Amino acid sequence: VTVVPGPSEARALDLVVGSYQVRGYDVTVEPRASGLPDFLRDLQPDLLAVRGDDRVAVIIRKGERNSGLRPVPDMDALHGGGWRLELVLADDLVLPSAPPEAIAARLAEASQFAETGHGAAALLLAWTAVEEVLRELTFRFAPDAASRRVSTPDSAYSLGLLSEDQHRFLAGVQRFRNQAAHTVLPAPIPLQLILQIAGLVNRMAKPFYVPPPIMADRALAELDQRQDPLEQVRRLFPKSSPEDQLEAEEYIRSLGTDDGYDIS
Amino acid sequence: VADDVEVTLVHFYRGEPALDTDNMIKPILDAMKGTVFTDDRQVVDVHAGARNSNGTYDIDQVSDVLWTALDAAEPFVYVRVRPLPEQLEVLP
Repeated sequence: VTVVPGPSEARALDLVVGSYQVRGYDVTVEPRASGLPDFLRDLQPDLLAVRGDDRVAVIIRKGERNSGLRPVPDMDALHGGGWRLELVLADDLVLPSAPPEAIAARLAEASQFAETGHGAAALLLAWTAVEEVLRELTFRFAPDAASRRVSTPDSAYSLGLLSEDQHRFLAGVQRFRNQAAHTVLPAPIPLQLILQIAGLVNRMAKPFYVPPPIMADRALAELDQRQDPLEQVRRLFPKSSPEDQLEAEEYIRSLGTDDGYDIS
Repeated sequence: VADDVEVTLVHFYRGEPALDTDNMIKPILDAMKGTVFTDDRQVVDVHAGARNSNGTYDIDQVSDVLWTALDAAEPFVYVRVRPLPEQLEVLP
């Protein structure tokens, strides 16, 4: 993976911003020093996140530049002003992630392999995109678990990052992938499977993607009994795809249907 | 320090750890002998570990030296020396 320091740092900021927004915080990115109280001004926080009484100043650090220049925080003043401080060391968390365009390009290449009869190669390549997107979702939505090097469908599902259908589908793909890596597959990999993987992973790689279980949890927390769950999901997550909004609704209704993926 | 002590060492690394935990203990204790304590025998308990430094730190209180290390986002070893606790917790 090639790392370009500038974009990577900006990407780390995007990811952290997203992780707060999805938890219902109002986020101010790179707040102006002039508008900050003294105890925050010198710290140069990268973002401020506020949800009710919880006010968080967040500093994102990478090792490459401006290292060690911030003064020691005055924690008494911070706490006295009603703030807490989070420091995110993000360098290695950003390294594994590829931008959505790179993931899309990789999946397109996998589709070409499948079209030309190289199904196993297509599946192995597509699987790297699956792992990449699961790692990124783990960082964005379950940061406490982000130090895990390997993201599998099972671990992502246990963290609430996959719906039941998504988990069933990706766990099935993982079994195929392992067979392709270690044995000779009894049947060719269908192009349709690669296209299904690409469709799901490309959706998950979008910067505003929110896993359906997390959408559902947030909607449930604010749901009024008289409100339609789908309407509530749409209101809270207007940028999410209709498929994901529907999955969140299904999750809320706990109906668990087989509506999407046909692997078994 | 003249009394018995407990020493905690945590290697915060980036990427992969540069050394095994057991190999970092003795050189650091040797370096502290004569400055922090006078005799090896004062070091009764040692706790040591290694953690990838990446992640989110909820900072409640922080010393100058620890903040400098964290803010530099470079590998470092956290060292804490404190009087030996009166009781040692032993799990069943």
